[in-house]
Amino acid sequence: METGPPNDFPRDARLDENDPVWRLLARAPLPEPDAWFAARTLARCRYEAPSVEAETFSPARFARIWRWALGSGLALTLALALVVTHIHSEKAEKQRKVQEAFEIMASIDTDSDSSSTSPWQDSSF
Amino acid sequence: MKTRPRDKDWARASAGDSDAHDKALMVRIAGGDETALRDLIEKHQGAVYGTIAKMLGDPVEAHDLAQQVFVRVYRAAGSYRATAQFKTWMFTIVRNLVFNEHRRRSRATLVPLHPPDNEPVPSGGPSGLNLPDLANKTPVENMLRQEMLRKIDEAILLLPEQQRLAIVLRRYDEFSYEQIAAILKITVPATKSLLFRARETLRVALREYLGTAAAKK
Repeated sequence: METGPPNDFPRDARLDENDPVWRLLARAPLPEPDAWFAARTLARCRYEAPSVEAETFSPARFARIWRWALGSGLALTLALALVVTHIHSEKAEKQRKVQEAFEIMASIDTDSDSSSTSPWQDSSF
Repeated sequence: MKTRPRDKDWARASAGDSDAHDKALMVRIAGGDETALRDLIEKHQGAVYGTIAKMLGDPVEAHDLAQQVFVRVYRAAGSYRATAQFKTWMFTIVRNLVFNEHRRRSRATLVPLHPPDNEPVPSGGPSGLNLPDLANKTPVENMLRQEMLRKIDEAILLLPEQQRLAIVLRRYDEFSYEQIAAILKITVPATKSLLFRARETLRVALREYLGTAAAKK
């Protein structure tokens, strides 16, 4: 009864096993990692790749992004409102000053109109 | 003879189950399951670390690179698409890291991997990779065995990097020609040719351990 090695390619494996080089290589097997390899690798994964969530969608990630987006949006809106109010009040102040200036100028004009009866301009002299 | 097809079927089913299990683990890792990551590391650490150690001949560097492989697997879990076999995909990462390391080393000045012949070999085998069986052998036998292991590792390390990876994947990780071709990004005939040349080089380099008949072959 023939039994082959348990892999995907029994015929090729059988050819390999007949080769003395192949059998010799088997005497120097692959070295094994130490007992703490898995634990250290897991720690390194945690440290170097903070979260797989960064590259994929997850509800927790969405909630975090949403919280940040909401906070940032509110802050931005508040800042914009302050800036707009400030600009608007400055404009109103400027306009009020201009209006006052016009009123003064208008009153000066009225005064100069009333000086038409000035003795300096009276031709009767 | 009748058992052959059944062996083949069993092997295929076993490989398929293992691949399906790996892919299921990747889905769980993408969902943030750390237990799945630990399972995946524990399942593949021997093959990944061993392959890298054989490729580099440096256990310390092999530890670092093997960890990097798993970090990359972890990072890519979210975007991983199960189009190819998981193991083939993971060993493509191994290949990239090992070849990059070779390029980095070729630009830098490095200390030799093995102590010179007149220096004693440290306990733990050549370059600390293999533990000798001290219990059932005489000191002379142990010394001869260590010498042989050292020669085998040296002969593998002297192969060009593509041949070296092909021979390690085929001999130690039991990959098929198709899988090796996918990992090395070459055709199947090119893979076979690569393996043939690697074997012939090793046959010459290790002829003293193969006996006269094998060496003449």
